[in-house]
Parts: sequence; structure tokens; C-alpha cells
Amino acid sequence: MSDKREINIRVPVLARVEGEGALSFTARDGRIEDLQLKIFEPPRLFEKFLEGRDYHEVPDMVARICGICPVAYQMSAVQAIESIFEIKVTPWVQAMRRVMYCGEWIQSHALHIHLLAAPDYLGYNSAIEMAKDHADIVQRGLRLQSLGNKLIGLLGARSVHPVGVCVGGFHHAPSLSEVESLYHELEQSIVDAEALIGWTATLPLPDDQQDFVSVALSNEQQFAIEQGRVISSAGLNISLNEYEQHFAEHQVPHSTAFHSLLEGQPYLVGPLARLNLNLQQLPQEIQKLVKQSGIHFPCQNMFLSIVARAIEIRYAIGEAMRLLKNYQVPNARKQTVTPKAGVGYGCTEAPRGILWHRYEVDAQGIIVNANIVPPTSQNQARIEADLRNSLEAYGLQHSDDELRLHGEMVIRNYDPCISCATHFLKIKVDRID
Amino acid sequence: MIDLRVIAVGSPFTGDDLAWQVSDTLQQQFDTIDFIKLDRPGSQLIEYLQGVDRVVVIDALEEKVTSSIVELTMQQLQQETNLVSSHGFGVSETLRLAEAMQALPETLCILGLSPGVDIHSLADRCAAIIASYTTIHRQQVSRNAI
Repeated sequence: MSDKREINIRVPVLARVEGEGALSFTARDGRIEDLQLKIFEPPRLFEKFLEGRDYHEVPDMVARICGICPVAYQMSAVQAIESIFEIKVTPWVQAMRRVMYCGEWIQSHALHIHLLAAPDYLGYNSAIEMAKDHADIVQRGLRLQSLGNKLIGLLGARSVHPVGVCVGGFHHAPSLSEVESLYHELEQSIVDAEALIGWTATLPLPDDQQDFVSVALSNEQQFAIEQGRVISSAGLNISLNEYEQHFAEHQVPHSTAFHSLLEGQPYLVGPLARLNLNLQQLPQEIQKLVKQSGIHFPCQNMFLSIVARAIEIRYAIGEAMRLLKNYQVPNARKQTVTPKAGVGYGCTEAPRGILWHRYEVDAQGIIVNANIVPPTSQNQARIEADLRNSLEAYGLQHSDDELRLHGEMVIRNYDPCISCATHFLKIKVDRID
Repeated sequence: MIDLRVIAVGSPFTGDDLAWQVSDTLQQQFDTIDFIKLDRPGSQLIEYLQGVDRVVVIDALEEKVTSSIVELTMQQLQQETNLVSSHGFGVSETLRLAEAMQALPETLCILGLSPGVDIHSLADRCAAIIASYTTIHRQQVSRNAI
């Protein structure tokens, strides 16, 4: 006869949150059954909002999808629309888009490392608690986050929901003095970024090796950020218009966020996937730092994502410096745009992983339909698989509180948007002995 | 030398620009005060608390209150529920983070502005509070001089 004990644990819900999540699972004979990561914030319907809007409105509209990674949404969108209009942007525009993207990586990763992920590994409930004992670490994180925001603001006029990007280029070109001032700050921040890699590599991270496929963009010329082909650790190598032949989103009853699968299987996108696939394209000086950290890539321990983020911060600082070093105010900051009917694709590396867009536009440049696949959807199935593996490896004999904390840590490790949704994790464990 | 900074937290969007509007009005009355308008700064607010001894932070309240302005203490902010997502990192969480890092200015005044109240009325009440801080400072300076 089985004894079923049901325990409900609730973490209070706060005001001013952007999402909520829940986790429930049943454990039987020491194995997890029916695990569900529930994202139940209402659908936001952005793709539908875009229908009927003029192409030039798209960059500003999609920037509102995320307050942490608006640049990624803008970049994937303009890439897709420019491909339809057969616009080839100037080298200056391409370089400045990459600079802006570097800013987003720096601020998003710094925020995630210090305010969301690190407290888990050091045994604190929040960054505020952690800051009492590690003020210098948190201050360093805030300095890096601020630097990233300034880079975004340099080209986007503001860091939250920037407005500088347009189809064909930028609305505004920064002055030489603005760039010189920021270049100096980038240079000064290298010490912080390199110390951060060392610090993350010494955190007491769980050793949890898992079997998963990594997916990222790949670009023969450079470490892929704002353009490339989609590749995987399982041998996939496709152009952006082939994406839908291999990746499929589907709805699950317990979540308002889609689950995306590659050939029917979960997969990983994000910093760890990028380093697993493209580490060799990092500059030698960064590879040397990676080697010194003692972390080996490819790596199948998701918890080392925090180190991958730190490495990408250092890379993004150096990359922004390289691109801004000989900055000149351009004669033309954008191309002339002539709308054409067609279908176009864009895909860029958001801080949390690839962000794929597809647009159909009519001859007047009006959006007929849009499809956006964010990294959050792409990682969801992988997160559920990870939770099953991680919680079993951790040990189901632990208390509900301990299981909840471990589950939260696994989820937070993936992505700040998911972190937002799951910091208020309600856990329901059915134990069947 | 700047001895007082007024930081207005909000955004350029109608409905979220209450503190900015009040700041614009106040700026016309005080020429020796450093006024800064921040657009949804999150934890970056801490950066702007540095380099000055006294700071007044003004932000809109979520709900209308009878007194039109509420002067909040750090203790009151402590009573708020624990944090936090990155999206939920608002003024109270940021100030608590600054406090944990001992990065608060020597004097901090937090003013919550009630929505639905005339901007000039709000500005007048803020001005009176801000003036009291500048007066205190002048008294301290003159005592030091003696």
C-alpha cells in the first residue's frame, strides 16, 4: 500500500514582477515522474501586434519584448527585414551593431551573474544578502553592468528599450568624443572582467554532467554574435531559412511559453552552448584566460554557464574596444530603404541564446505576419530535462525546502527571463513511497 | 560644489513620468542643486548615489495617498517582501542593496509622489522638503566656519 504525502510550499509573490513560474513533480521510488516547469504569465501576442504595422516600426516595437535584451530583438528584426529589402548595410553599421550587442552581453551577463545566479552558489537568498558579505564583488558587477548599459546607450540613445536602431542602419552616430570617453572606460574595465572569470571559476558549483546538444550561431569570420549560420554539436549546419525544417515549437498544457525542439529533442542555447561550439574563435588572450580558469570546453555541466558568461563579458569588452579603436563619424549612418514584398529571416545571439525571427512583408513594407522564437522557448524543454536529472542526482531524500532551492538554482542558471518567472517558485511535491 | 542631488526616477512615458515632471518644475527653483532624471535605472541607481553627501530620491507611488507625498525611511523599505527578479529590481530593492554595500549617502530622503495630484502642488511640497535639507546644510557650513 502506498503512502502519498502531499506538501505545498509557497514563496510569496511580489509586486512589480514580469512573470511567474511554478514547478511540480511526483517522486516514486526515488525517481521523478511528471515534472512540469509551469510558466503561466499571460501570452503577450507581440507577433500579432506586428501584423499591419510599417516595417520601420518593428525595431522599436520588438525592443519592448524584453527589458534586458532589447538589442537582440532589434538586431534579429532588422537583419530579417533588410534581407527582404536586399539592403547590405555599410561596414560601419555592421561594426556598430556588434558594439551595441557587446553592450547587451556585458550588462545582461553581469546582472545575471551577480544579482541572480551567484547568491545561489554562495548560500544567500538574494543579492542583497550577498552584498553584506561581498560588497566588493557586487560593486564590481554593477560597474560592469553600467558599462554595458553605456555601450547600448551610445548607439541606442538609452539602455532600456533603446531607440537608435533602424532598418538600414542607425538614427544617430555617436560623436568622436563620446566614443573616446567610453573606450577609456572599456579599457579600465578589463581588470574587473578578468577578475570576474577567476572568481566565477572558483565558486562551489555542483558537478552535474549531462548529455545535451548545444546549438549556436557560427560565423567563419568571427565569434558569432549578430550574424551566422545555425549549427549544433550534433552536426547541424543550416542557413536561417532552413530553421523551421529542423526546429519546431509546440504548446504544452502547463505553460504559456512554447517548447522548442530540434529534430524532436530538447537542446541548449546560450553562453555555454556558444563556447562549446565556438571557443576556438575567441582571441588567443581570452583562450589563455579560459585555460587559466581550469574550465575545459566543450563542457556538459550546465552550472558552468556562469563562467561562460564571465568569459563572454571579457570577450565583449575586448571586441567593443577593437571595433571602436579607430572610430570615425560616418558620412552616412543608414542606407536608403525601398520596401519590397517577401519573406526574410534573422537570427542573432541574444545573451541567453539564439533569437530567430521570420517576417513576411508586402510591397509597401507592411508586416503581413511575424514569427519570433526567443531563447527562453528554446531552452524550456532542456530545463525540464535538466531538472529531472539534477534533482535525482542531488537526491530526493532531501527536504522539500532543499529540493525547492536546488530546483530554483537549476532554473535560474539558464536565463534571467526564466529567472524572473521562477524566483517566485511554488513547488508541489507528491512523494509516493 | 554640489552638496545636494535630487534624483527623479521614472521614464519618458506618460503615466510613468510623474517624478520627471516634478523634477523639471523644481529645477526652476533651485540653481545650486544637481537634478538628475533616470529612466528605469534598476540597480544602476546606486551609481548616482555616489559622490555627494545628501540625496533626495523622488519616485511615483503606485496608488494615490491622501497626503500627496510620503517621506519613506529605509526601515519602511525593509518591510517590503523579499526580492526579486531582475525585472522587479526597483527603487526599494536597489536602495536596500546600496545599504547592504554601505553605499548609501550620508543623508538620504526618499519621497513617494501620489499620482492624480497636480504637478505644481507636488513640486511645492517637494520644494519645502528639499529647502529644509539645504538649510540644514547652510547651518552646518556656517557652524564649521565659526
